[in-house]
Amino acid sequence: MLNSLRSRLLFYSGLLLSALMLLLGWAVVKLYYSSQLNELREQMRLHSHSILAVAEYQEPNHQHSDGRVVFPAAMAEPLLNSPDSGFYAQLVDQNNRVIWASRSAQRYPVLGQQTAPLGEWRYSTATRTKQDVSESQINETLFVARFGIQWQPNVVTNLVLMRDMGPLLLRVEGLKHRLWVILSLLSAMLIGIQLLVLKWGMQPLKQLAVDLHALQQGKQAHLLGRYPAELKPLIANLNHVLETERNQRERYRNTLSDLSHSLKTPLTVANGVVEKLQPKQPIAVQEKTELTQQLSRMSQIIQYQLQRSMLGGQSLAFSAVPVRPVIEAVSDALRKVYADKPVDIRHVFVDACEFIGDENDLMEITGNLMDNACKYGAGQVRVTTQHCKPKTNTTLEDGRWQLIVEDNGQGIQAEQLHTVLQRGVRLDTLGEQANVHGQGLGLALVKDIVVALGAQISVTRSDLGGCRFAVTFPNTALVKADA
Amino acid sequence: MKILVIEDDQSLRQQLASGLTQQGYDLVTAQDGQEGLFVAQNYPLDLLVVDLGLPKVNGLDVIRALRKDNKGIPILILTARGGWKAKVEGLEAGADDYLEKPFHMEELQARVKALLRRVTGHKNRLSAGPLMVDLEAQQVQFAQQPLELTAFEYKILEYLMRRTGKVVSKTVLTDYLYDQDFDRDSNVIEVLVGRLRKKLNQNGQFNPIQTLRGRGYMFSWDEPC
Repeated sequence: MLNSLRSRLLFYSGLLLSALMLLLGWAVVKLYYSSQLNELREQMRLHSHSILAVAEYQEPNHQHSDGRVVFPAAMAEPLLNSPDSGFYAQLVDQNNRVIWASRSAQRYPVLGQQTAPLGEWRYSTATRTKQDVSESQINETLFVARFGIQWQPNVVTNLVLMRDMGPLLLRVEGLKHRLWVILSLLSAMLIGIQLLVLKWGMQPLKQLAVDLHALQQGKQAHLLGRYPAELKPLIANLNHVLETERNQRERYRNTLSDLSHSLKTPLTVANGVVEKLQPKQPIAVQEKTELTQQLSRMSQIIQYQLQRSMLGGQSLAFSAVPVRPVIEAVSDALRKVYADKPVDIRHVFVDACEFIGDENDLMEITGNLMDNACKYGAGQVRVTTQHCKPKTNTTLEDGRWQLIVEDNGQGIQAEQLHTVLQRGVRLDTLGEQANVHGQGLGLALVKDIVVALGAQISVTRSDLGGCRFAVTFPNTALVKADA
Repeated sequence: MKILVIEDDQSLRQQLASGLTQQGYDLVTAQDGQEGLFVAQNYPLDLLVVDLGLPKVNGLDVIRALRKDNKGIPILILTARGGWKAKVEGLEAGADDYLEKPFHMEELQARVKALLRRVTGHKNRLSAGPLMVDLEAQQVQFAQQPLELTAFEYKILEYLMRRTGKVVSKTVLTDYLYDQDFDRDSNVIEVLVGRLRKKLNQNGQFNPIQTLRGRGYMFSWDEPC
């Protein structure tokens, strides 16, 4: 799930956003609740003033030795006059005994045990179980405010005001509900915006992937797109690596080429010297034969290994080589070489194919296969290029393509098919065509290149009568940039 | 037949010269591309053997320069770079065949012979009236009887017969027969051609070598009706 950069960014930013929204929601609810409580406190203060304003203290007399506080039968605040109205008032003494209770607070216990000192407020909440109209038990949460009053010296009584917090809690719940809806919508919107920002922000990376794909396909030699400043050092380094790799390959090729030249010329001279020897003693004849064989072995090893080391290599960036011009160039060359044995080389370009790789590799494959077809065929060579199609659906191409080289020669016997691609095997030395020159390295080189490229080669019998070599090149075109 | 071998390696150059001289060819050698190009551009040649890896001017450039000058001379390239790209490049540049190093002298001799045969229209022999020249055996017959010619006489006859109907200047003939430092003012060519005419015209009716004053010689023979 977190394989892509975009999924990662989305996942972690979504996580962070959710946490932020939760915190924001909690803070807003807390603030609202707090402000509602403050308002309630303020209301309590105001109510306390109106209640105390109508209270009358009667000095101690014969009936009440401690004196008493008298309230009117009905209070100005209507809620105090209706039972279970949600607003209650009590006056309690130091021992929390009720001295006076509003009509609404009849039979109400004293709540809020913390006595308020003189002139101070003490706030708390309390829960009381009561019966509703259907006589079922319900919990009533009350906001309790106690205010310390002194009617007589050294006697502090508390005015206890209680307010049903149900409506407040309902408002808070309502706010919570609306808030979560808003925050959810906001989160969704932010995630949407984030997706857009990510898409826009990731555009250079997508472009980089497209450029890299084009580079692998050989459609461009460097990363050419316009990239943001953050990516420019990376692009510059990548281009530098590509350039260095290209130069190194070129240097490597040149060095091997020079080495090849340096080794093969003395070998030719050595061959010539040995050929000129005219031994008279049998032992010297044997030595000449041995020397000739060893020189021939050396030649083969050098030729095979040097060519092998130059071909079929992997690179960071290959080029897309159109196949047709290469086949045409090789055909023209072979027509010259086999001018004494006119060869009818026919091309069947079913599809325009491209070889993703080094042109030298393609030329080596086509050159060796076509040279063999000219050499061992009876004057007819057919070269076909076509895209591969799955057997189940002949209209659908799967991105692979085939190079098929056929001739009308004697072909290869079934039992020799598996040995034909081995290094140094020359089937002509086994048969009648021993006058055909060659060292049996061409097909082995082709096989090595084919293996290095991840391609496949098969040898079968052609309908022309001779060999049919088919090289199937891998599906490079379908390796698309998945951004 | 005159062959120019352009090869920078002295030992191989000598071997090539020796191997081809044995086959009866006249050899001119050059040790680098510049010298080889000069010789090929200024002297009559029948075939060129060019190594691709040459100092000063590389083999490919030598071939391209000659083809640009419309020199149709057959060219055999020697290459140590075994890859097909080098071969195709060489053949595309204008070479007619390639030989990969290391090779055997017999292989080179066979390729040279095949190329020369290709130029002469796949003929092993040239004939005109009662005259027949066997190019393989380098023997001449007149009226089905062997005709003894010196090496120079044979070369002049073969050279002129290969260019039947074309004017060959005395200078070209001199360059073909002799080294570059040969005294061009001497009348040795006239003497050789005169001797050749005398040997061919035994019956007084066969004189195919014409002298074109101030221009050179031409071999032509129309069969009598």
